[in-house]
Amino acid sequence: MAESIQQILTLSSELHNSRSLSKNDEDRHIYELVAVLRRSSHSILGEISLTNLSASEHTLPFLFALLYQVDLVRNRTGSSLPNDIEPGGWLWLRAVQFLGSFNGSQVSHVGREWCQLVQVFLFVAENTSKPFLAVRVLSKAILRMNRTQNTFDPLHPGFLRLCLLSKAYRYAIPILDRQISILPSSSESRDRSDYMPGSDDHAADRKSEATSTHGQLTHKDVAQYYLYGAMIYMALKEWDKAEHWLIIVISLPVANSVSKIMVEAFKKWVVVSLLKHGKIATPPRIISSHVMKIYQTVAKPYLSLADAFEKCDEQRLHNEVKLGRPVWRADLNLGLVDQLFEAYNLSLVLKLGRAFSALTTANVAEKASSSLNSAIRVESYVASLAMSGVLEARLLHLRVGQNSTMLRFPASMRSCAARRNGLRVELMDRGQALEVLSRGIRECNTDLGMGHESIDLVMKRQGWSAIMKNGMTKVNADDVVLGVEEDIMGDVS
Amino acid sequence: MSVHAQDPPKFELESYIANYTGRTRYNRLYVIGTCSSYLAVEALKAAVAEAKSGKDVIRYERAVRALAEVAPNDPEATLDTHWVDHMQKVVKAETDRLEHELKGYKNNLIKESIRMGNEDLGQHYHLIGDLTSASKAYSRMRDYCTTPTHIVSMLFKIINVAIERGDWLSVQSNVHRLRHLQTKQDEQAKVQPKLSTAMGLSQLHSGSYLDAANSFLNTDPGLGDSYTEVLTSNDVAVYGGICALASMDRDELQRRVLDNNSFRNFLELEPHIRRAIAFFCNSKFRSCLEILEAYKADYLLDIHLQRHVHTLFTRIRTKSIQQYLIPFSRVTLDSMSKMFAPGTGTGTGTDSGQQSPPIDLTSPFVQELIALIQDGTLDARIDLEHKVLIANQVDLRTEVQEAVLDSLADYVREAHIRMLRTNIVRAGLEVRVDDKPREMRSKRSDGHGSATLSRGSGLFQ
Repeated sequence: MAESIQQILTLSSELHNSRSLSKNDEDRHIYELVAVLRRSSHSILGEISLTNLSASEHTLPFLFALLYQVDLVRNRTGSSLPNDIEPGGWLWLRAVQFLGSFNGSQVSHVGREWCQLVQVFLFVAENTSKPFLAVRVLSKAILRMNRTQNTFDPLHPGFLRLCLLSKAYRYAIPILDRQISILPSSSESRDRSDYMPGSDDHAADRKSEATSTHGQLTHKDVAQYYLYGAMIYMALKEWDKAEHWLIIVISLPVANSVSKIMVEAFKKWVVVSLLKHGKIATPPRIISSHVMKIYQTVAKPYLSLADAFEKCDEQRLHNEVKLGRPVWRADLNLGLVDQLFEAYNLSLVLKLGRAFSALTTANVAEKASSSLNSAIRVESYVASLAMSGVLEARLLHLRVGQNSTMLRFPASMRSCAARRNGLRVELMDRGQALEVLSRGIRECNTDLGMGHESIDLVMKRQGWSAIMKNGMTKVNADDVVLGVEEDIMGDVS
Repeated sequence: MSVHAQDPPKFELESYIANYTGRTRYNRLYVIGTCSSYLAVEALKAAVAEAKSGKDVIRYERAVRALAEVAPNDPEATLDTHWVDHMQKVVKAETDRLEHELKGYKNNLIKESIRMGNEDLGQHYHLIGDLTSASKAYSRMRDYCTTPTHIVSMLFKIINVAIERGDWLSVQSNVHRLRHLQTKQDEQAKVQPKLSTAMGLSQLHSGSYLDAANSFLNTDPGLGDSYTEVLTSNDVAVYGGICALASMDRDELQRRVLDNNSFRNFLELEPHIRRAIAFFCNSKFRSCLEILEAYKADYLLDIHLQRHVHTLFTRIRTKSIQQYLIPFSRVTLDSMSKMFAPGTGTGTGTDSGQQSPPIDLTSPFVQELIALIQDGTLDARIDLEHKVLIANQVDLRTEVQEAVLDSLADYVREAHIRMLRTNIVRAGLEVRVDDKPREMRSKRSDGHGSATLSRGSGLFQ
C-alpha cells in the first residue's frame, strides 16, 4: 500500500519536474497517473495526507484525495454540509489552497473530478450564505483552468450566480469578456475520434474524458449563463453589452418551444433597450416570427410600458409603472424599471438637443417631466449630465439675479484631434473584437469540416461519383438492349 | 364625413354643377351639401331635385334626410312617399322586364342580343343605384363582345361604375386592360384622355401623388367636355397642378408643368393654379401658399380632392419650408414666420417686429418647425437665444467614419450571435420540450445535494 502511494507521488513529481517532455509524452504521463488514481482503492486515497502535500506539485493526487475526504466527511456525518466543508473548516481551507495553486494543464485531463470539486465549492458557498468567499478564488481558478480556451464550461453559470448573489460583479468580468464560441458535445468528439484513424488512443480518451462532464450540458445552462452575464452587465450599467447578451438569450435556437429563461430575458431586453436607446430596438431578424409572437403575448405589460416611454407620454408612463408594480416585482425587474424615469429625462434632453441649438432652462422645464419642473432643477440636472460627459452642452447665466439660464448645444465640443483619437481607440477595439471573432469562426469552420455531417457529405459525394459511373454503364447496357430490340423489330418488319 | 368647410367657396353652385352630367351631379351636390355650412341648403335642395329626376330612390331618401337635418322646416325636407312608392314599383317592373328579356336572348343564343341585354340591364342597375349588380351585368358582357369597340365601351362602363363605387383597384386594372387593347390609332387618341384621368383619379385616391400628377399631366387636351360624367378639364388642371406641387421639385415643376404645352391648355382654365406653381418656382412661397389657402374651401368641397387636401397642403408647405432653407446657413425665425405664418404673433407685422421678436417656444410656427426637425424633414436646429434657425453643418468625413464603426460593431455582434447559434445547434442544445433534459438535470443536481455521495462512491470503487 505504501508502495502505491509512493508510486503515485513519484509519478506526480516526475510530471511536475519534467519540463523537457514533449506534449504527447506529458499527456501519456498524465493519463497513466489518472488511470492509477482512478484504480486506487479508498484506503490508498485516504492515506494521502493533504496537509503535507503541495497542490501545485501534486495537483492530481491532491484533487482525488480531497474529493475522497469530502465524500468521507459527508458519509460520516450524514449531512451534505458538515462543519469541515463549511468556510473555515479544514477541508474548505484545503480546497481554497488547491484552487489557488493547482496545475491547469493537468486538471484539464480530469474534467469530471474538477467539476465535482467546483460544484461542491459552489454548493457550500451558496448554502452557507457566504458566496463572496468563493467568488475570488473561483474567478482565478476558472481563468487558470482554461487560459486560452473559449469553451463553454457548465460551471460558468454557477459561478456567475455566485457573483450575482455576492454582488461581486467585477470578478466575473474577465470571464465574461472571453467570447465563448465553442459548446462541447460528447457525441461530436466521439465522432471525430472515429474518423481520425491516426489519432492515438490517449488523445481520443482524453478528449472524451474532458467532454464527459459536458455531456450533461443542457440548453438551460447556456441560457442561464448568458442571462446571468447580462444581469452582471446591467448591474454595472454597461447597457451595450447587457443588450447583446440578452439578445443572445432571446435568439437561442428553439426546436419546439420557448424556455422561461428566454421570456425573462425578453422582458429585461425591453427595459434595457429603453434605457440605452430610449426606444425598443429592432429585434434581430434571426428570431423566428412565432417565437417573437410568444414573447409579445407574454411580455405585454413591458411592451405597453415601452409604448408610453417612446411616445413621451409622461403621465401614462407613471401610470404604467404604478399599475405594473406587482409584475415588475414578481419578475425581479423593479430596480430596472425604476431607472426608466431618469432615462426618460435624459432622452428628453437629448431629443431637445437634436431640435435646438440654444434654449433657456425655463423652456426645458416646460417640456420636461414633473421631476424637472423648475428651471433650477433643469440647470442642476443638465450640469450633472454635462459633467459626466453624457451630454455635450454648455450653460450660460444670462443676467445676475435672474433664474433663467441659457442652455446651448454646440454642434461639437470636442476638438478634431480628440475626435480622431476617440475614433482610433474605437477602431482598435473593434479590430480586436473582429480578430477574436475570426478566430472563433476558423475554429468553428474546422470543427464543422471534421463534423459528422460534413464527412457524411464528402462520403456521399464520393459515392455519388461511383453511382455516376454505374449509371453510365447502365445507360450503355440499355442502349445495347434497345439496339437488339430494334434489330428484332427490323427482322419482323 | 369628417371634412367640413366653414368658408364660402369661390364658385357659384349652379354654374359649377352645370359642368357635370350623369350621376356625379348628385354625388357632388350631396358632398357639398353635407360638408359646406354655407351652401348646405342650396346644394341639398338641388340634390333632392336631381335625385327626383332620376330613378334612384335611396339617393332621394338620403338627400331628404340630410336636408331635414340642415333645414327641418323646408317643404322639400319631407319625404314624398307617393313618388317613392311609385318609383319603386316602376323600377321593379323594369328590372323584371329586362331580366326576362335577357333570359329570352340567352335562349336564342344570339351573341349581340345577349350583349345588348346585359348592357341594358347594367345601365338600368346603374341608374337605380345598384352599383354591384351594374358592375356584374357589365362584366357579363365580356363574353359576347364581338368588336374592339364593344370591348372599349364595356370597359368604360365598368370603369365609370368602379369610380362611383370607389373601387380604385378595379379602375386601375380596367385602365390597363384598355391600354393593351389593339385598337385603331384615332380611336386610341379618343380614349387616351379619359384613361389618363381615370388612372390619375385612382392614383390620387391611393395616395401616390407623384403618379397621379404624371397621369394628369399626360392627359391630352382633347378631353374637353367628353368626360363630364366623371370630371371636367378644370378638375384635371386642379388635381394635376396640386399633385405636382406636392410631389415635384422646382425644376421638375418648371419643366414638366409650366413648360408643358399640352397641360398649358388645362392650366388656362384655372389660372390661379398656374400662378401658384409659377410663384413656387420663383421661390415666392408665401404668395403660392396664400393662393392655395384662398381656394382651400373649393377643394374641400370637391368630391375627389377633399380627403387629400390636408395631406397635399401639408406636403406643399413642408416642401416650401425646405426649399426656403436651402440657401441659408442661418435664418431668423422672424423672417421665416413672415413668410410661412403671417398673422401669427405680434412681430410679424410689416416693419415693427425687428427689435422685439415675439416668437418663443409656444408659438405654433416654432412647434411646426420642431415637429419637422424631429421627424427628420429639416436638417436644422432652432436657436431660441438669437431666434434663428441654424442649418446643421455636416462633417462628411466624421459621419462616414462613425457609420463604418457602427456597421463594424453591428457585424461583430451579428456574427457572434450566428456563430454561437451554429455551435449550439451542433451541440444539440436547442431549446425543446423533452424529457431528456429533465433526466439530465436530475443527474446533474449532484453537487447540490447528497447525490454526490452515491456518485462519489461509484467513482472510487
